[in-house]
Amino acid sequence: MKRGDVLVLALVAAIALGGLAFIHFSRPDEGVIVIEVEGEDQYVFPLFEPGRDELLEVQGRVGSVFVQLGDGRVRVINVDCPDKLCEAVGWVSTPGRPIACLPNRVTVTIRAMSEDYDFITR
Amino acid sequence: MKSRNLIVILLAVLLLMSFVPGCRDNSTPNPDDLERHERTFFVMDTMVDVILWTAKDRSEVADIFSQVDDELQRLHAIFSAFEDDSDVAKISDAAGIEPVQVQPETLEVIQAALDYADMTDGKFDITLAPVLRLYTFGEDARVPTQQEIDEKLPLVDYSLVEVDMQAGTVFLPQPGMRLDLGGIAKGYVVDVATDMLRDLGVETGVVNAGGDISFVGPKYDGTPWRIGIKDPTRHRTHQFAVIELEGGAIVTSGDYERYVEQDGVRYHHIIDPADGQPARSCKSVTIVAPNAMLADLLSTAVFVMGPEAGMALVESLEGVEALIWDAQDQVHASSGLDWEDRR
Repeated sequence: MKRGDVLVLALVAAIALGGLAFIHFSRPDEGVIVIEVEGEDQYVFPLFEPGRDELLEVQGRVGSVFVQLGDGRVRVINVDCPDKLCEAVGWVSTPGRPIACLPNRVTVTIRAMSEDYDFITR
Repeated sequence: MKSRNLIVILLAVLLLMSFVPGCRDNSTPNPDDLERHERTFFVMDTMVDVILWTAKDRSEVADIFSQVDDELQRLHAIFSAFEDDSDVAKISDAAGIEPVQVQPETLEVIQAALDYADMTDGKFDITLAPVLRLYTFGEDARVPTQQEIDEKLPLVDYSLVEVDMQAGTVFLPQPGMRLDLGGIAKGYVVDVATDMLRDLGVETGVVNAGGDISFVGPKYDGTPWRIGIKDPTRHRTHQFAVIELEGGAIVTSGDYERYVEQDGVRYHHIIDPADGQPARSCKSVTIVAPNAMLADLLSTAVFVMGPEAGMALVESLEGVEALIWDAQDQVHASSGLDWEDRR
């Protein structure tokens, strides 16, 4: 085998492995994070975004709700409301359990795109 | 290596690259061209999610959501335990004083609750409120002492509730008695919303009040709905079963929803009216029923009754199925339930 052939093979192997690694590690964008205010979709973000760590201020009925968007997860912090139940929920990374700040009428939900069930009862 | 081989390899690489985005395509074709619409309403201390798949245009859909909203807000004002002028609050405030004139919906729900209280040997009891109010969950969580519970237990007796259908009144004869329709009113509200969608000509719809789910017809593509049932022993993410439904309603009660841990013991929100303590024989009870009100109250009642008596009740009821995860981590399914075991 010539030097050029080895290079081509190495290139093919690298691309093949890179492709497989991409499929394996990037995780499919199988969901969205939906932030609703007063029952209407206000923001929609992809669930997965590598390296994302954003803080979003959402205006609710009582005051501000800060939504922290991570890669594949979301949580609510620093809420202007008396009970702070939504903060206690912590990070959420799967559909089925929305984070709700009822006094502010703000909800943060992960909606699945590829689960093999439609709803979760709990 | 010949240049022909090189071309083959390059083609293979191109093929591989085209494969990668292909893996990330999650679009699902919609055979019926029905459009999905979703609105969330805040009533009865919970979020009620209403989802439609319909060929109706946007203004018709907006009108449907607006009608559902009006009706849900009206029912909230009647049933909410947190609104001072709700029927429930007025009945409780007039305990030991006088009968209270209430809305027909209140009469209907209370009468149904009393009928099922008999059927469940009092394990479903809408007069449990004085004891329930002793427990607090969340930030100011607190478990009452047995003495506090014992003081309130004499006030818990559904058989004392006086419903006069003719006069349209409800009376709690002892001072201190209180009503809590928590285990039934949410299901009733879900049913009202579901019936409205059906009456307004919605082809396919779902009403989901925090896991109390009711369906208008099968799924938009004609296949059954698939509902995941949460594993009560794992953290949030795992579904231990999948149940397929073409309509009707499904509700789950679990000991993991609201609870406080004290001295290593979990005190959850499903209380046995017999002793005022959290019911201990189940971790999760899922009920499938023709309507959400029945599924709602049975999920609570069966949870308290336990797997044996609870399953016997379920088997005696037409169109009702159950999936029970008991305290020993055994799973019991009723004879007519079609379910997929994911454990």
